[in-house]
Amino acid sequence: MKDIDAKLIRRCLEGDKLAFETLVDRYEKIVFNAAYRIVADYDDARDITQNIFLKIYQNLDRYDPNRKFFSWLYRMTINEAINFVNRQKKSEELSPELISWEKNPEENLEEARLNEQIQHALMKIEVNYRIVIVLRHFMDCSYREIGYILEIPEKTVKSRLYSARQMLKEILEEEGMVP
Amino acid sequence: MIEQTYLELMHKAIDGEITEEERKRLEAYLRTHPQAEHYFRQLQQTNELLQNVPSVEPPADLKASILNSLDPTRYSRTPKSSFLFSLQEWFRRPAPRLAYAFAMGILVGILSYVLILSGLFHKTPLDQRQLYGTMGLESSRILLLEELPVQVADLQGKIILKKTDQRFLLEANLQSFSGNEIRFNFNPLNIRIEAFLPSEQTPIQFRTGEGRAEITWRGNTHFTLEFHSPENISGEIIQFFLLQKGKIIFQHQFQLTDS
Repeated sequence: MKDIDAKLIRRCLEGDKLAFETLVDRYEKIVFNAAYRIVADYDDARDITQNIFLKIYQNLDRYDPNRKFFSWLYRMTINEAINFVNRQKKSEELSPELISWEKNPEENLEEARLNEQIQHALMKIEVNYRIVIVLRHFMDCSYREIGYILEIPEKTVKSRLYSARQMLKEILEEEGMVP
Repeated sequence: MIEQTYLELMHKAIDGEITEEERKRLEAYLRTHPQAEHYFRQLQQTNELLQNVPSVEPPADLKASILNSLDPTRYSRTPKSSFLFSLQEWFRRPAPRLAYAFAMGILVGILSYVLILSGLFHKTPLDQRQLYGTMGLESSRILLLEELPVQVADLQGKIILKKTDQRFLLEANLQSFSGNEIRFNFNPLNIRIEAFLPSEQTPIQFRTGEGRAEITWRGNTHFTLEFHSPENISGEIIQFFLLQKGKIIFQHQFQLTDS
């Protein structure tokens, strides 16, 4: 996967626009989902995703090929989402806005309910803890990758992840989802 | 009260980071500590719930919005010529911009008058295919050659054939609930596979041999298959077969053309 991304970036820097389109295809969904899990708003997640890809494109010539592209992309995703949450905090209390049926009609009722309950529980956790859950469980990052993305030691990653998971468990327990 | 060491082992087990020796220690502890065993079961349930949360589909027009917001000259293949660069710099000078605007207005007026008189506005019908995905230079232009809707059994979506430079691209975006297989057959003397680019989230298998490619997956998928071909490829075809449980349920021939 790393080789494919590196090849696509090289082609993009040579002026091949299709290469960047392919990068968008590969990562659009995962970036959008991460943003959505952090900010809990479909339209805001869309704006964040668009900004991230725009920044990635503008800074593609600064990309370090010794690093995995997705780590760089995820770091930018998290930073953009955190900045958004911080801006939101200044103006209003963040409340989860859940996606409507029109936006995701293929979901069945059970999936929609699970989505709603998990998102609601995630929004009750402080954003620094929410982020490690998103990176580990929704973006499938290792401890080391989370450390690189958040610029914290692996030891801190573990303790933050364990605390976050415990908080989430307790919220889900209160809501009767975890007996 | 659960000991901190075993709490950490529980989380390591959830993350698949536990060693065999640690697992044995944890299991022994859980057998003799019912409270810890209950706690661990709750952690596992939390993990399962997180794994089962469906992913959210991004807005359909998001990709187009992203691509439209990019600066097409950012990574241009042709370096800026010194004359063009000088011209741009000259116009950027902090000189009286009102004079420029006035001069441009007169120039545009004259040009419009000449064009209207000569009837140039009605001369050439626009070929909309030439507009598809175009950004920047002629050589990086992407042409849409064919859009094939697929709706068979529980499978639906579309496959798009595009062309750019010396590459043909087959972009598949298919939704399904079951296991599926796609086979492509082609003439290996004129066509070879350049790259297979699945979406990062798609669990998918790809196999290739001389003159053929096979892709198997379950559920929804999105991938791009790049074929390289020399110039003057007109007349070549790529045969496409869609299979479920080993039986062909749909087939099509993609015709490769140079324009």
